[in-house]
Amino acid sequence: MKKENILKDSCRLDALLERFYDAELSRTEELELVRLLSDPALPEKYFVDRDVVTGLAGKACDSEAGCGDAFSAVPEGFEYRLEGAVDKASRKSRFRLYFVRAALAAAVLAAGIIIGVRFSAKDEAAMEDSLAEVSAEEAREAVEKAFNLLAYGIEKSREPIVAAERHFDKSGKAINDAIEKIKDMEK
Amino acid sequence: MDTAGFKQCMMPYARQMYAVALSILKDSSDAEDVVQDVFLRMWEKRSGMSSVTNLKAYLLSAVRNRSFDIMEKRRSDGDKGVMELSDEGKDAGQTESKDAVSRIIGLIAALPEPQRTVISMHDIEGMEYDEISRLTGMNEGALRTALSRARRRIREIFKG
Repeated sequence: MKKENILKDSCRLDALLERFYDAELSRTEELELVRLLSDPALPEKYFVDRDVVTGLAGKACDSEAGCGDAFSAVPEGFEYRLEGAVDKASRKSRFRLYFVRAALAAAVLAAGIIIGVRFSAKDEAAMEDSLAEVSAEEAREAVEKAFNLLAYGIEKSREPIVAAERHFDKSGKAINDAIEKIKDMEK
Repeated sequence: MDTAGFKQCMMPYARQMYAVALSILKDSSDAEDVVQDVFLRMWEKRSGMSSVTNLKAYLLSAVRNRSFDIMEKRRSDGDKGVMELSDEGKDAGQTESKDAVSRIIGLIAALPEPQRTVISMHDIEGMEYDEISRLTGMNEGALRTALSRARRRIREIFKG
């Protein structure tokens, strides 16, 4: 800054800085601010602002024509390498999927075999148990039935005996009566 | 989603992602690594991509955050290009523009959101308010407020 312009530029600089920190500057005004702060004769009191502004706005817009198009500046082969990385990840994913499927299938097969063996072994034991249980149960039932039948038979068989006794009593009485009559007749 | 479909979705944003990473990291190789890293992470999550309403905003945000993470790691590893926060402002008058930029980016990485995102998108990446508004969902007034606070905060740290 030339001495005669320092006061004028300082006023302008102060105004632009205030608007910069209020985020009110246009891109054109930012370029002007960067230009003023880049002056070798810049007073020391603006050094901090120079570092802040050039560190921010000075990098985003590096030409008076406006902010350059940084999107086109990629290294050579960038997109090719990027697509290659995606393809590699895709192959890894497919291999992982095949491996997981094979492992699952093997696990299911092994589980099926183990369960089948255990189940069939369990069946034999269960069957033996079942047979044992059925025999004991049947035996108990059979005994119970037998006792019931015996009781029934005994009960049933008592009736004719009782009837016979009644008849015997009757006939016995009849015979006794006859004998008494005979005795009476002999007297 | 198959590989071809994934590439079709993602590749249109690759260059802009690279530009964002480069503007923060200032290193071509690191910037390319960041983009590739984000691509591969998106590949792992490709089944959920359809639920992302604004893919461009999502990707640029991912690249930005990843780049700032690398900047933070550089600072903690004692990279020569980046000064510690406590040293800010001590020799501000003697640093060159390149060092100032590195320091600024280091400070931006430490800002709270949304200041970090807004100042990065506007000042580092050179986006206009309307595009930032579309990507972030914030109105221009809120963007200017966040940007103002971020710039003033950085200045306070530089002053010491």
